[in-house]
Amino acid sequence: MDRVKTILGYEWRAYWRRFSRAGLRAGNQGVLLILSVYIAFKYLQLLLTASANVEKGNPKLLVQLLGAIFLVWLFPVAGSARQTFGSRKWLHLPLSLKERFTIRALSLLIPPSAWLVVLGSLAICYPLAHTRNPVAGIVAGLFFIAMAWLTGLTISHLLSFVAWRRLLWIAALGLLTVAGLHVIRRGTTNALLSLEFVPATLVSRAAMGVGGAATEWTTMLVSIITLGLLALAAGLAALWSLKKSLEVVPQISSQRALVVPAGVLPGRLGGLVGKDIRYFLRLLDTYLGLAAGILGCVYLAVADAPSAGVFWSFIVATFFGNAALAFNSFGLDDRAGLDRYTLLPLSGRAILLSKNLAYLVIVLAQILPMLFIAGWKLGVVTSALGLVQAAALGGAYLTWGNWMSVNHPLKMQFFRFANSGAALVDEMGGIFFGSLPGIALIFLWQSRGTGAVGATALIILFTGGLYFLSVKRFGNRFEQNRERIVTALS
Amino acid sequence: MFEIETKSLTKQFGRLLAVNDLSLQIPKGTIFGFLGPNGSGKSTTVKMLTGLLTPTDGDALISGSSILESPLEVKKKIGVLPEELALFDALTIWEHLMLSGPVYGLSKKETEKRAAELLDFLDLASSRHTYVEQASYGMRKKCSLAMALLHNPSVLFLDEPFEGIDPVASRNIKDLLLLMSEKGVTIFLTSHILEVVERLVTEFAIIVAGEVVCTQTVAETLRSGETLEELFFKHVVRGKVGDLEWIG
Repeated sequence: MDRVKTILGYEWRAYWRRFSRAGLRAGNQGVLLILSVYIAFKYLQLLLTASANVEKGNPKLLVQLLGAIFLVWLFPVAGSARQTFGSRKWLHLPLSLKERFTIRALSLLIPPSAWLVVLGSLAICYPLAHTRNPVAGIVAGLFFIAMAWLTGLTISHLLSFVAWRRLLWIAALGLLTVAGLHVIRRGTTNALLSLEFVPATLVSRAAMGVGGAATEWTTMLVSIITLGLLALAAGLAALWSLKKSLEVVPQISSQRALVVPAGVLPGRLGGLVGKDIRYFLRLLDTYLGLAAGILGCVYLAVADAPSAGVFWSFIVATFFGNAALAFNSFGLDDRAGLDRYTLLPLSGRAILLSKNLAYLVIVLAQILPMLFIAGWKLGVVTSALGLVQAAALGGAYLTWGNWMSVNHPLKMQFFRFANSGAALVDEMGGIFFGSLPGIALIFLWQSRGTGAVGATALIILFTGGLYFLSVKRFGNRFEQNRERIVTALS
Repeated sequence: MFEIETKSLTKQFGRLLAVNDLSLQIPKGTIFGFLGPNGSGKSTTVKMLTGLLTPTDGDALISGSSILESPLEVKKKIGVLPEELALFDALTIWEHLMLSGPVYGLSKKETEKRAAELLDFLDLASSRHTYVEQASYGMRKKCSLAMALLHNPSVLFLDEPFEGIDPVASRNIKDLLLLMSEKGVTIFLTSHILEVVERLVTEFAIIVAGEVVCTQTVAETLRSGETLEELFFKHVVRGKVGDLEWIG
């Protein structure tokens, strides 16, 4: 145990050292605090409402909150770095599998974001304490939280395997498509929330009970035992997946069949663009954009009378999903990669441009099917306006992104979600700034005013102009700040 | 005119003076060995000359272009095998070369031709589609070397080129460097393998704690009756194995 304690102590030290290297910007902290307090306040309100509801015998909100907790647990795990002492890199150390598992599991709790997730999860005990069977409810709730944590851990280990990665992505996209269809058929977004998540329902059953005293006891016991078994299964799966991920060299899928290989794209920057496309495809955030694109396609294809406004909103959502690619374009590079950029006879502007082109290729690939279906269902003009909107969104997102990529780079990991870290407020500002032209255009086109054409042209010129200025300015800044960027990313 | 000329080149990291007032003049076609123990400032010097680090003071001219005023011009003329190899994890060896050629203005066809020949020469042809993150250290080093040679540079900077390389490839690289030198390419290399340096280089400098303590030609060393190793240990203090009493 002493060895685990020592290693975790050094992981803790390394985390905070990396954190301070990435740069804590004092100006952001106040806003971040306000945001956190606001979210905590809203969450507390929901917990109070949920406890009032369960007292009246209505567990709907409780079940929804449990579902949200399960999903939230996937993020700290999926966003965490793989380079803990439990990983393959440290296989030469004389540590048992159990010790490695303990280190892996506990090191996930080092970042403050994980503390918030833990606190938020444990807070669900408050409404559970107001149910008919508080003790049973809390025990079931704790089993549920353990299951969520261990499921997230298992998924993060399985992401090391090509076959599992594909399977998980297909499952996630399948679920999204089914959810999308469900929402469209029901015609309301609340329909999504009515989908039952079985383990969450089990917690409510254990806490609320149903039927007479004998049935209630049976329901309670069966629910708790089932949740306990689910948590145990998730724990065993996490241990097994860690063992497997330590045994096998992390696999890389040959993306030749899916992506243009680096070096095939034309032009002086073709190779670099190809390389960045491959890098971006290894970031999970890219698939949030893909999901938005797929949902847009499903909506356009299935809805009886699709609306142009909703179609354009899906384009905004696709850019939103890919925000991390634009805002932290050097995040997947390491010291070696940045050294290569420096050795090549390329200006900072050319390097930034290659990153921007890779981003545009990915976003275009995600919205292109939507544009085609929109052309078929809504007419060529609406589809073309979607392309115009995408140009404005691309310009705005990249303008903000070039500033952030050069001034506030943060390390990102392959097959993980982008780490927002200290740049969360900047990212939110960027999402607002980047989405604004797209949303303004939707309002403009929906209002069908006389000056719509002129205003559209003005927005395009404005975002385009800003983008070219950003490439020039931040390309030069990249050359000056290279050593600082290397330090932030190493 | 010298092909590489450093003028009071200095690099300071906080309180550490990594390279102090370095002035070297290296003629065209020279194979120049830059020797010194770990942490003496060899790699820092290479990094400054190739644009990876900005000097705190001083300047250097490579083929007449200043590393401070015309860094892009310098980068077009040089080939570099850096200490950390500078490769992209998610690309194959072949893709690295195909990425590099067009950046230096080579056509795709010419890049393919040269890349195939280089990989054959370095015995990498069969591993060309290996991802760099799955390749051995030696393979990665050869890949980085192939990238340095692909555009036929007039000045070549090699940081520890023979470390981690198999004997066959090592011999091939030595032959290649001698041929390049004959054709007028200037080669600046750092190495710990003194025997190799002695047989390969025409001129060398020894750097200790950021200061050049000796600069001469190999011919001068041989005339003095000393080996390069003897000269090296005249300037470099080494630890005594007897101090580690607890070993064994």
